[in-house]
Amino acid sequence: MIKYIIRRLVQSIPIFFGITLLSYLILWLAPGDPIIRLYFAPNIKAERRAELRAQLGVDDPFHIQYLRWLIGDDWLRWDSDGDGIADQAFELFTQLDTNGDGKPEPPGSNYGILRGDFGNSFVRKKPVIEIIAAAIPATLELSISALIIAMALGIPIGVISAAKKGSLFDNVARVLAVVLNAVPNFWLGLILILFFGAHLGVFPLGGRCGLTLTGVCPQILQRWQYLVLPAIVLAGADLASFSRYLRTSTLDVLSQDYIRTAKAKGLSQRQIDFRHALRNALIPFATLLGPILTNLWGGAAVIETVFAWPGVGRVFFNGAIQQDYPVVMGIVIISAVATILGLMLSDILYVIIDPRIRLT
Amino acid sequence: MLKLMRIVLLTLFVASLGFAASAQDGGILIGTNFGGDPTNMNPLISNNTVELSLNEFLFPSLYNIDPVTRAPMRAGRNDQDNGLALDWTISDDGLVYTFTLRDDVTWNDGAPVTAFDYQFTFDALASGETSSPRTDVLQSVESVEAVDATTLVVTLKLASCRVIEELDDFGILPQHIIEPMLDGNYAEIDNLEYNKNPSVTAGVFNFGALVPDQQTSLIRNDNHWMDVSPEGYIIRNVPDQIVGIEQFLAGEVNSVGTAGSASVPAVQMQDFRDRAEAGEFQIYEYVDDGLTFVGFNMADRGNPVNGQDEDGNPIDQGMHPFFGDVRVRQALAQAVNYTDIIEGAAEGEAVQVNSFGTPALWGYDSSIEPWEYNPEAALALLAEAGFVDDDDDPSTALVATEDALYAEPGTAFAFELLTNSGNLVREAAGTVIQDQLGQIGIDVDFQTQEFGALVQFLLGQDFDAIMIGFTNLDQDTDARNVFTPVGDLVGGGFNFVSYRNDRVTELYDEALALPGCSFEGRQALYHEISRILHEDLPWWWLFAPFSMYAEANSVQNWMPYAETRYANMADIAISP
Repeated sequence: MIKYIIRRLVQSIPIFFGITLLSYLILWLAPGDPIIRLYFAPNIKAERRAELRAQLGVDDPFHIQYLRWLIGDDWLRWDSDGDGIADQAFELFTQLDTNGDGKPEPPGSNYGILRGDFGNSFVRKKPVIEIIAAAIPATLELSISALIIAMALGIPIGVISAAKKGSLFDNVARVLAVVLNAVPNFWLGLILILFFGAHLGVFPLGGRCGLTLTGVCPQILQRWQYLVLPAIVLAGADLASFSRYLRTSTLDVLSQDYIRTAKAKGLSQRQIDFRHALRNALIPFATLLGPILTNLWGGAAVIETVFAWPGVGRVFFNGAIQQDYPVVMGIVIISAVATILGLMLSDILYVIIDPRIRLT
Repeated sequence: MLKLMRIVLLTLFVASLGFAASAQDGGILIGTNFGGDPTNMNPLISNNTVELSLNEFLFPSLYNIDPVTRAPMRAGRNDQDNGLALDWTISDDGLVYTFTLRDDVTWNDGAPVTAFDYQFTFDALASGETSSPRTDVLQSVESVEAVDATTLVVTLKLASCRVIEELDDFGILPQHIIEPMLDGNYAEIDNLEYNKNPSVTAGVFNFGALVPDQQTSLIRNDNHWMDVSPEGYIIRNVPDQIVGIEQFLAGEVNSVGTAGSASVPAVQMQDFRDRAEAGEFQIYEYVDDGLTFVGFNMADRGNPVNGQDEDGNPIDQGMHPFFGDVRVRQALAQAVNYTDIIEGAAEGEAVQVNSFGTPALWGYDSSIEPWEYNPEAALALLAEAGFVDDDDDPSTALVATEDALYAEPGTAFAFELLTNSGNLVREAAGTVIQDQLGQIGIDVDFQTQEFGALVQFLLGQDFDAIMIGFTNLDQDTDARNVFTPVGDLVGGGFNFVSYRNDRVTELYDEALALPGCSFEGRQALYHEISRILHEDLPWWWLFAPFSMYAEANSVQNWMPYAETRYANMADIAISP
């Protein structure tokens, strides 16, 4: 097992670097740049925009920008005598005086993501890690709530559908599962907001907390009503997947010999379905654990935007719109690591739960 | 089961009552923001709409602005009552401005707001080490000197009638707070914690809190020299405009938009008018200070070059095969029915414009008759310019003859029209243009592009025609960066259509340096520019949208003006 984990971790290293390179390249290839978006106005002159672009470093070639983000720039240009002015440069990549004004540029101060420095947001002018950390509680709150709803409803629906295969309940559940998978969640979100919020007035129309001058958000029990609609919408697609997944695996289990034996022993159908069938039907469910863990923190950009929910998905969405590369890349990297680790955990759990499986 | 459902619904109802009440208590004004958070409140470097609108409630400015004329006011009250200048004088040569400032305005920590604060703020800007975009003022200002706490002397390098506006382009920073944080390095201004939490300010409100992606709050400044009525002002961040409108209609917020934005979409304006008429809420309408237009690239898009060299000598840019000829531009301006564009695309909530600017600006000449729909005249002009229907088949494109100035004979009249995707009004307007030009034999390949991509085509001067909009235009309609060769810079300049008319350049220079800077004199010069631009059509003038503020009835003493939502914030009261 240890050897397997080590091998998977080593295999993950090139995958990780591949993800960083491709993601950065896609962002870099996107037309425009953050300065154009922030300062697109006739009264701001081209020279000023060029200066601002240089301040952010987005006028550097791709390889310099990528390396600066990955491994920092303190090695590109540095101050060896401690007078605060750069006096050495790694000339293969840069010069001391890059803009030709006769003065060396300041020493590099970024350490790069490999050394835990996620950089600063171009737009918010604060460390990316702080921005992400501030958004994680809201995302976890929403994701975990949605997961609980999806599992609490999806698993029993799947088992009952399998136990009552072909019944009205089964048919209705299957149709609803298809509908929930097919309906765009932003549309469903807007409809629920309009009906339950605007029309009936029983839920607030978006947000995570009530508005206060101090900006303090109370404990979740004091503001649960804000969570209901986004959690239901976010749970919708997972609920449909879980019920379909459980129905299939339960049907498979119900045809096994040990279920026949249980019936022969005189156990009730309820005991058979939920004690014997469900436990075994849940084994393949472990393979979903990786994606579930990834989704837990990654949030849902569209849902968070429709419901004005201040989570990681919304930070990512805004970052992408504003071409705030450090923010987008920070979230991409954490997602990549979560996905790699989540999938590995799924494989390991699968082996632990099902002794028939062997890791090779 | 029924009983349980009743209990659940009753609980939800009671909870919702509690929610609605919490938003209205204590005279707190609540607005909605459909854009990004105000993440940088430093008035020197803040940039987005909501940041700029909140700055006005927090920081003192050099002078007040008349909410009716938008002109600088001496010793008057303005919307946020933060202007310092009681009076100012201008030397005979127009190079020295001497301001006399009030002595009764204080920061919220009790320190007086003085001319030294203004000098410090200007010096930070002039250092060039900050990321401030407001560097226009540096072109004409030589120095700013605080003679004493209430006397400020501004010396210019060259006379400029625009300098008075440029000097008020930024709020004033508290020197006694900021300077010790800089350690002599103005570049540090970009990184101050103060930018996110400006604790020492001097407006009607103090900064409260920013909760990212949720809300920003301002709290009443009890030390302000006026009695400030509202307990606070909260801007709720709502990314989806539909949801924001519903929040307003449901009474969760008091206004659609922030102090700096109107935000009622054109498609809902008539409904809002009807509801306001029925007494459901209050509205205020005005013509926006921005316009939508189509820019014609007059140069050869295959070889984009700057309009002039470093010495100001013209550079041969080649000519666009169609739009290099003014007759073609004038023909197009008569080939489209503007009523169809305004009614069909802008929901009727716009007014046709005749030249650069909008009727909201004093530099705009409303007496010029806008271009009218006249397809026969358009075809005649096109024939004169050498574009004819050579096969008597109206479904095929016109072709160039020997008479065409810049197009090769036999060239079909077909061009690409670009606009930004996601702007439904422009997308609809582009479809109308494509359809109606098609009816006279002009093939329009209408494409929508993501905004970043569109800007790359635009600034790279790699396009035939581009539909876009400008807003927040200057009152005097000075657009030298847009319509003179100084702005014709490939990759960054805003004269992206490569327009050149020496008379227009002369008039802009004259208006900038007019002795005495008289309003009437400058207005006459800008009106003359308007008439030339109307005929030359470097841009195809389309429309200026209407804007609408919507405010709940609970907002009392509301006094709105165009571009000034709260002209008397200190007096506003929110009824429970």
